[in-house]
Amino acid sequence: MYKYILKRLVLLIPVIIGVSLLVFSIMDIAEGDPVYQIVSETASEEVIEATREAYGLNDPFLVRYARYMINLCKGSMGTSYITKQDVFKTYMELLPNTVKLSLLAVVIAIIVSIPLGINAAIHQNTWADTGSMFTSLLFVSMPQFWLGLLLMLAFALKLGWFPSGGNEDGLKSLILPAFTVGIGLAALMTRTTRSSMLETIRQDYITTAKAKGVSNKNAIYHHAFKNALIPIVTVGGMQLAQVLGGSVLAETVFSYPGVGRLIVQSIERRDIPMVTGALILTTIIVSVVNLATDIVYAFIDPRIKSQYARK
Amino acid sequence: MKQKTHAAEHTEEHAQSRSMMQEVWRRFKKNKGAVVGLCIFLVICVLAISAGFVYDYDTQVVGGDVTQRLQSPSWEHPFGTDEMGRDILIRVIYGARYSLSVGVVAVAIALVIGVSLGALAGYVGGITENIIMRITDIFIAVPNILLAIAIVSAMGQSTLNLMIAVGICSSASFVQISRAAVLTVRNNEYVEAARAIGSNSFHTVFSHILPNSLAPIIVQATLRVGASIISASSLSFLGIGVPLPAPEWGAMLSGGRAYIRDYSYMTLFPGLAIMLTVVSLNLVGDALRDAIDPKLKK
Repeated sequence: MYKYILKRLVLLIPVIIGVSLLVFSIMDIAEGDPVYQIVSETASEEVIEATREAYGLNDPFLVRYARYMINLCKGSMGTSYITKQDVFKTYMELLPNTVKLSLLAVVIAIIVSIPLGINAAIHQNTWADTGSMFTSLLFVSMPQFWLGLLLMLAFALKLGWFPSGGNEDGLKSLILPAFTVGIGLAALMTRTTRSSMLETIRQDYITTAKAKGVSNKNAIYHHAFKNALIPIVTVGGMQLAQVLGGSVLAETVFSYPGVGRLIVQSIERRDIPMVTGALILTTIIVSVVNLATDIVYAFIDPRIKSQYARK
Repeated sequence: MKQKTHAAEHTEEHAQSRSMMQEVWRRFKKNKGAVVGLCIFLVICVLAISAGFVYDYDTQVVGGDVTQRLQSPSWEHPFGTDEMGRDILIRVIYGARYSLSVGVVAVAIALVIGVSLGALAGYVGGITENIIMRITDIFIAVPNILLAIAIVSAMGQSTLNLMIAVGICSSASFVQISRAAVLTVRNNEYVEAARAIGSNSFHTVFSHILPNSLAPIIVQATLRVGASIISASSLSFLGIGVPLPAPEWGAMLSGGRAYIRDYSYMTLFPGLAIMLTVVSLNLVGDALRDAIDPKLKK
């Protein structure tokens, strides 16, 4: 098991190198000269040239990339062109906000989706099933930013229950962005829970349990649910990873200071060190959460666990 | 009695003679949601294509009356007018052209890149497969929306670049699906037979392997058009998608955001349009998946 985790962590290294090369090349082909992000456009030739030299902007692509990677190995991600702040520090300051938002969103999604999904599966092809499947179809098909705008309109502007943006009010300002992300997730997970549950309750061991006199309710909650949980946990973990990297729209709609919004703003300003650093860090976090999902998956499914144990 | 058995045999024979596509269509038609979805989608397509015959965008929207700005929905303007007096209904209908074309072209780009690389990886195997799959891993590791934003901002803001960016971001999933699909049919006897009679690799992949691994690719493509429409409108909402003043749905929502408190209808209709389009595509995609692989439906 530990061997497996270690192997997966080692496999992460080429992915990180690849991502950094990808991001570095994308930012390199971008139009406009990054030097003007550092000095004003009216600066004299000498100042511009000196800045280019100082930031190493005159060097060829591969030299700049190699220098960046060497610094990265030394633990430095550089400083922002715009704010002159340390990239790693800026990212880490905003990361807790995004983590809070993502965790709350996933919790909301789980609370809503598991009962709904199970109920839909047990009462397959009834109104309860059709209704929850139709509702989740609507929310799956809704753009996140539009849902955010509607929630903002209803609960912030009309009812005034929650602030319409920022994060000054603690938990209160977290609720609307978290629901914006969480409702979409819940819709997706309701569909997963339902299909996973449907598959499980048709298994022979459930029929056996019922034949041996286990009540319907007991069979579903004690025998079927545990096994149906495996794909649900996988989807949940994958979604958490997705949300950590992709809550940018909810963050933008509610002006919530998270890492997604930081990346979008940095791309707009062509703040190359910030974009590169933030995307690499986000990729690492997403990959680690995915790895953690795989490990949890092995722990809750003894069949898979024994496979790793043998390796 | 004998006659009856004969009839049963006959229908069975008939069922076998039906092609796979006919069989899929027969199952697809039985799904009410799918038929509704297909109808909605066709209506949206017809509206998008015929918009130019019914409305004249230049005179009715661009040359709109500024004194008619911010009118609530009425008989004259069923969806109301925006801050520049432009009719929102006409803009939403014209917007379908952008969203549909971006969605379809992006998926076409993703299909070309993804299927060719995936088929290559699955068929050739070895180092080629390893390299392709590791590059795919990199594209999967970066969150899609952030990658798309980075690509558009690097290439410059235009509708074509938006299509390319969304297409590149979707291609990784097609690489995985087509590789898996090719792997499942690669070792079938008919492929071996084709090779034995001297068919070259290119011909084997395109005439024998791909047509038999199309089903999962088609399902994914249908669902991906919807997802691409959402991605594209999200980018437009962030101000880096279809350039203004084009009536793209995401861009209209972004414009309406400033007036959300008093003129909320501006943020209602373009969003409904996106949702309706994506719902119809999801209904069709889900039904196609069930029709192609009935095991999942039961």
